[in-house]
Amino acid sequence: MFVNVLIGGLVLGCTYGMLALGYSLIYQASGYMNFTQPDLLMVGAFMGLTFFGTWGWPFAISLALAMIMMFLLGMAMERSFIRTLVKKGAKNIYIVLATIALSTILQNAAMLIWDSRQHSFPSIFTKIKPFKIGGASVRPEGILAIVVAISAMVLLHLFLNKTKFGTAMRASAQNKTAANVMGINVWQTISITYGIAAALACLGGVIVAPNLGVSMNLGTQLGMKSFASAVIGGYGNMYGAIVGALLIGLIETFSAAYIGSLYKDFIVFALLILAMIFKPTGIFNAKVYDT
Amino acid sequence: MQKKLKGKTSALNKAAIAVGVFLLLVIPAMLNFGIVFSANSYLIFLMCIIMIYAIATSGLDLLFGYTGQISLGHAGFYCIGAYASALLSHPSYGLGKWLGITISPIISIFLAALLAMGFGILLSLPATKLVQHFLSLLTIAFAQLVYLAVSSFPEVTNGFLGIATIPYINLFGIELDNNYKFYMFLLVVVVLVLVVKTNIVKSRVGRCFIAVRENQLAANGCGVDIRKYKITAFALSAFFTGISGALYAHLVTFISPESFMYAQSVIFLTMLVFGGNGNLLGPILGAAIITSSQEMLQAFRDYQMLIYGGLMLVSILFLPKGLYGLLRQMLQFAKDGREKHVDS
Repeated sequence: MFVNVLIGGLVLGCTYGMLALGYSLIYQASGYMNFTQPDLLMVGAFMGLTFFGTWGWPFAISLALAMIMMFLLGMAMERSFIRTLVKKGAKNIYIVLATIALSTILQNAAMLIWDSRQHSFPSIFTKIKPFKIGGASVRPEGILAIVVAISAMVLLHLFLNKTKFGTAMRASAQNKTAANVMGINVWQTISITYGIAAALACLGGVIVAPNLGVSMNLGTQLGMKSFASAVIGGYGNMYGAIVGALLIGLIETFSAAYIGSLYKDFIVFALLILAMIFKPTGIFNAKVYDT
Repeated sequence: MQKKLKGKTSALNKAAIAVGVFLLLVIPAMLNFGIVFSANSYLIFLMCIIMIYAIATSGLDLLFGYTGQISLGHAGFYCIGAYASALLSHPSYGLGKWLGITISPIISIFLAALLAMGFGILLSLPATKLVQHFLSLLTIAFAQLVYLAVSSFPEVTNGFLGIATIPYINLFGIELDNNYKFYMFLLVVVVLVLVVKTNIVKSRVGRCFIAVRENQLAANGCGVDIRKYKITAFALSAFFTGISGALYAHLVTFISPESFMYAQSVIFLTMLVFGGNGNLLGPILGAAIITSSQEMLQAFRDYQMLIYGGLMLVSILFLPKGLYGLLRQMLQFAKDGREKHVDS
């Protein structure tokens, strides 16, 4: 029982982690909070399902194609809406609102394109049987989710801190004018960031789809809890995102197993509110206070 | 010339008032008694819903439009208002079930609004310190928690089955048991709310709200206690939204958790942003147009939320002052044109 719950919690945590990473990335690169991230994950999962499940393409090609399309979608969203608003000098609050509006649109567009039913995602590894760890049977997809989430975290951290482009991204988030003077194409950098975040969401969506299934509510189902994980970990920090997500995933599965599944959401949201009241900077101190 | 122009605008104002009275008083009466139109209680019901949304959106406006604090959790206050009033006044739930006493709805609405206000203050204590995006997150989490609370404690709230047969409002012996009576009552409440709102906005408190919205540093420098006014804004906003939730419960006489989901908060914000925030008429305009479009687009039910999202996006991008701002601009334009005409 214990090992089962533990592994379930880790897989769930990594699922939240994939989303939390996207939030943190955009926050670090543009200073904005992006409410479309969970819906991008859902759209990405649907694309993967269409390519891989319906059309029967090889998994790697489906995933790559879906990620490229989501990358373009993320860039297009930034170009057409976010940039227009920022250039008009809109307040931060309106940019948050715009992403909320976009998330509503994406969700309902997905319902119209696909439908509102729950779809099951075909298993990725047809040849590998579920194996046993400490008496609990584990699906290879679960292990894949953990491996992908951890490697995404490390790669993103290296990318942001060790490469020239990553430095440019952080610079444009900190001070647009100064970054511009240093010869960084700020707008291009930001729009590529949105693209990367969207592609990351797509990767997350396709990876978790075999465990959770795909439906138009997939984003809403995961979105708030990944926000909670990003906040608890320390918003904008890659490691914080994953640590917070694992924490939330474990708390959720353990409270579902030992307290009752009716109260698991209640506990997670109460935890988020408590974290916001007493330690909004999270485990890896983020800047959250108003001046 | 100045005098002449003034005379003209006041004629315009008179016309606006006449149209307003016609829309708000004469048409519902005709609908109710079946004069000219055939009697239609449903349309009056819709007008009631518009009024209720107008109250909630006006409350949100105090917070978002005047003080510049985002809230994506107003469905939470709306829910608290509705459930609290229902539990206080229902003979077989809440107070009626445990103690065997019920409170007259007219008082329970007020108590429910006070409870919502209490939660508003509680929420605002951490909220006043957070940056904008985190504020939106905290308010979403709050509304989600309220939703989970009403849906996961069936002993108190009857869970997803909801509470039915909530008593009608009894106003000094007159039972508001049909939509027309309720409508007349709501009209009075809306006017009261608007009077209170105008007085708040035009007072020192309202000016401090605007100062906080425009520039917190400058406001602080001028001696405005930012934290205090943010808390006040949250409290007032929650109070109005609580009233509107309670009124909703007694109008529809049935509530269930589904009416208080995250989408409801988004709808409130859409009404506010589309109608125009930071003024008296905008929220009402938004509530009226969005609610009636919801009915007219009944055939396109699947597209409903898509249209809301689109409307919100369009108004953020092109109409930052909302429909009200657009109308004012047009009026101003017409006036300018007329002035030029007189000049030449």
